[in-house]
Amino acid sequence: MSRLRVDGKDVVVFQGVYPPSEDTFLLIDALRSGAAGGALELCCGTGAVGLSIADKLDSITALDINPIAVKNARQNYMNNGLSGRLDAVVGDLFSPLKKQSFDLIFMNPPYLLDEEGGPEDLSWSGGEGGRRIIDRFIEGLGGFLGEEGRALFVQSTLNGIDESLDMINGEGMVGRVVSKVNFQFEGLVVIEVRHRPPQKD
Amino acid sequence: MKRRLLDILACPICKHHPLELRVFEEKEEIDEGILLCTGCGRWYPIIESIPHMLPDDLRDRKEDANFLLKWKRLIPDAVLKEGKP
Repeated sequence: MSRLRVDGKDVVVFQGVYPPSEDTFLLIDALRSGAAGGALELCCGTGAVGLSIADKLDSITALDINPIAVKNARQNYMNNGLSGRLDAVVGDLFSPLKKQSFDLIFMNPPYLLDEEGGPEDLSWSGGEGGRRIIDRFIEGLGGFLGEEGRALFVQSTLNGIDESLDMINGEGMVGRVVSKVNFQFEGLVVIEVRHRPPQKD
Repeated sequence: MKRRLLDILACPICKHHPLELRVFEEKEEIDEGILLCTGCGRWYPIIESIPHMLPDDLRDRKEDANFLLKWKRLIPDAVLKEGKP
């Protein structure tokens, strides 16, 4: 177990849980503007992203498919005195939730390309093309994003930005890149998604 | 797990809502208990205050068995005999 300080909060990292990294910080920065009532975090890992804005939320539902990650997140909310706002669930993306509206939805999913086809490490592998989680997220998002709500997620330029934006468009929503950081071989972006505003006559 | 979570949970398999809650241990939150889906007969354990709502193929069989054994006396017969998966 390691321990670090992320955006003013104490964060412990359990064995086997994805530690706060560049992509985590990129999403934290993108979320800095604006508060929200009810939020949903998917692929929450240590919970560091949600924790960074938990002060500004009424409640946050945090999900991860890995039971150790959810336990880790709960521990971090307790350590920072914010567990009263947290509802933690072990589950696969939106699947354990009934259709409802969140003001804010965010996710830092596993998106690394994994062309080997071998057993996948769920904490980082995005499957072939890295889109295993991203595609399912975009497909399900419409049923959970409030009318005025916004969703933010991280992906790599290698996953195909246009592919995501086209898919978002196809689901009747609007996506745009709101932040970007470049590395040697790839870039990381945060994509923001909103419902398409009603057409004016 | 807080009781308010019941308002937003659905069965991950058949999407039935609401789920039925049986509490085994409760202090500030529900520490141990079970969520029952009356739609498809599945059950989901609440372990250390966290509901585990995974699809069948991702469930931890050993953990499920331990959970059923630990709370055998409090788990409805229907779950022990006919509960899925």
